Order: sequence, then structure tokens, then C-alpha cells
Amino acid sequence: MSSYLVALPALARGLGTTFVIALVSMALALTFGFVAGILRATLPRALDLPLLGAIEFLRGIPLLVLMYFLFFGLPQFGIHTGNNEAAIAALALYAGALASEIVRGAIVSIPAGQTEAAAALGLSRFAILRLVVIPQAVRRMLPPFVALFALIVESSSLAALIDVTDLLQAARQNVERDPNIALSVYTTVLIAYFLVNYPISIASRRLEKRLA
Amino acid sequence: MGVVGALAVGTVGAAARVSASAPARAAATAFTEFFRNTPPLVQIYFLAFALPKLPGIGPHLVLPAVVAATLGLVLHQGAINIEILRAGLLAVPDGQSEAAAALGLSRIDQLRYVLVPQAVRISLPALGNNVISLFKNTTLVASIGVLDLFGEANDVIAQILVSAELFLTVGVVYVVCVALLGASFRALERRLSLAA
Repeated sequence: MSSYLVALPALARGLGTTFVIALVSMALALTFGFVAGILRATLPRALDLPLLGAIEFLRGIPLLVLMYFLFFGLPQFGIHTGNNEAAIAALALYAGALASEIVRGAIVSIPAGQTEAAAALGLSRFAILRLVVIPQAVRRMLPPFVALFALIVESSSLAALIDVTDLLQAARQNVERDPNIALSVYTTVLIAYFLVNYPISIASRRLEKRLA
Repeated sequence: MGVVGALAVGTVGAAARVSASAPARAAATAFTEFFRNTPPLVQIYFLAFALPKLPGIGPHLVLPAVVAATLGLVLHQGAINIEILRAGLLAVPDGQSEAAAALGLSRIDQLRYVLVPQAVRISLPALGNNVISLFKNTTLVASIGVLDLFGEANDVIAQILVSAELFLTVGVVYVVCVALLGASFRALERRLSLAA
């Protein structure tokens, strides 16, 4: 029991790292998602294809393979990525591909009448997008974005496998030191992830109902 | 195996979530929320390393790595299936179950012959996505030392230390498989859709 108590501060620090990684990845994923999503919704078909290919590739590759590639594979090309950077880059690319689909889907779901009316008022294409379409689309993006954040928190546990000291890795290290605390430590970790993610997924569902 | 297990968990759980019995509903809801909102990797670690430490029965619960990993994936992906199928069941119009009840079908028979077939059709796109995500999550199995496609690559790297090409190859294999899975689910959807 006492070594369980000793492990707690390490677990708390690990949870902090999990938060930082998740937040930074989310911010990057949103940036990437908005740029790619808006491009995909507006570019002509031929120009859209390479982007579609890249996004489908990122969505199809398992996150762990992407993370390992960035961490173990890139140094071969002279690009040295630290553990944290590789984990964040992998999460951001993966979640960014998902976010771009959310953005694109929300933009094309806005009825064409809105664009036509704005064009009739003499707005430029860019102004139509910025002043009419995107403000309406953002409402529809909110619930899936919140759900995406829960997915990022959950998926950030993979970073433990490239030795990032997140919540899971902190647990692994402490259990390695004293295998007897495995049950209490892993139970704590499960509950901690649940306490973080459950409110997020409730928030996503509430938003969905309210904005529907 | 993971897919079949996750579907079984999903079907039973979804039936429980729409059942008339409050305890069954509560249990199924708790199960879904817990396993959906915790990372599958942590569940696998719990099953593999923490379960054997349970006082009393623990030592009998030492699971081989592949079993722990499969079970973890089944629980997580099954919980998501429960939500998907429940949404599908709720989307079937009330008139369907009322008509079935009027024909004298029992609650179970209503589910079996009338509601579930329609719910599956509604849920198919989401179920397909979940199968794909299960397929990708099999990479997690490697992390506790079970060899799958990905584990094999890890082993080869350890021997010859060439990793970039290997990970790319593994990635491409997964992407191709995911594309094929996605295409077959869309074909299945088209076959099952009623609209001509």
C-alpha cells in the first residue's frame, strides 16, 4: 500500500503530461483540420484529389504505426524527433485528418441557398465563406470536435509506448518497480481516464442535442 | 475473433439497454460508458497485468497475452457497438414494434424478427467504421508482446535496424486493408439498402 501512495505523485505528473500532449495535439489538429477541410470543401475536384489521398492515408494507418514511424523511422532520414514531439506530431496528424472531415462535412452541409443569397448580395467568394458559411458550419462542428478531443485523450495513451512519461507510462514504471501495486495502480489509471473522458463525452452529447 | 466478440457484446448490450428491466438497462449503460471512455490500451494493460493481482481469485486469472489483448479490444469495441446498435434500435419507428406486438409477438421475437434486422441496416455504416477501427487497434496487441503484422515488423527491426521502410510498408498494408474493408462495407450497405 505504501508504495502505491509513493506512486501517486508520479501518476499525477503523468496525468499532467497526458493533458499537455492532448491539448497541444488538439490545437494543432484543429489548425490542420480547418485548413485542409476548407480547402477540400472549396477546391475543384482535380486539385482536391492529392489532399483526399493524404487524408485517407492518415485515417487508414493505425496511429501506433504512424507514431513509431515518426519516432523510429524518421531519424533514418536525418530528422531526429524527441518522444514528446513524435507523439504530438502523430496525434495531430491523425486527429487533424479526422478534423478536416468534420470541417468539410459541416461546410458542405450548409444549404446552397445561403451561398447563393450571399452571392446575390454581391459578397466575394471569400467573404461568403468567412461571413456566411463558416459561422453557421462551426455550430455543427462543435459536438464532433468535443468528441474528437475525448478520442485524442484516449489515444494519447499510445505515447507511453514510445516512452513518453504520460499517465500510462508513469503507471508502467511504478508497477515495474513494485509488481504488487499493479491492481491498485492500473485501477487508478482506468478511473482517472474515465473521469477525464466521461464529462467530455457527456458535453459532446449535450451540445449535439442543443444544437440539433 | 475480435469482430465477432465485439458484435456479440454489442448485440446483447444494446438489447439490455432498450429492455424493460431497469437493472439491466443500468448495468448495460454503466458498462458502455466505462469501456467507451477509457483507452483500450489501458484496458489491455489492466487485464494483462492487474487482474492476476486480484486477491483470492487473481492467480487463476493469469491470461495469456493474446487473450488479454483480444478481450480488451472486444470490451472497448463492443461498448461502442452497444451505442451504435442502441441508436439503430431507437431509430426504428415505434409503429414497427407496436404492429409486431399487435401480431402477438413476444418482446424477444419482436427484437429478433422485426427490430434488429431494421436496426442493423440503419447501423451498418457506423458498425463498418467500428470494424475498421478494431482492425487498426489490433496494433495495440503488439505492445504486450503478441506478434501480429506490426509486432513482426518490430522484431525484424530489432534484428536489422532498418525501420523507416518497414513501418511505411506496414502502414501501407494497413491502409490497403482498411480501404478494402471500407469498400466492402459500402457494397454491403448498397446491397441491403431498400431504396432503389
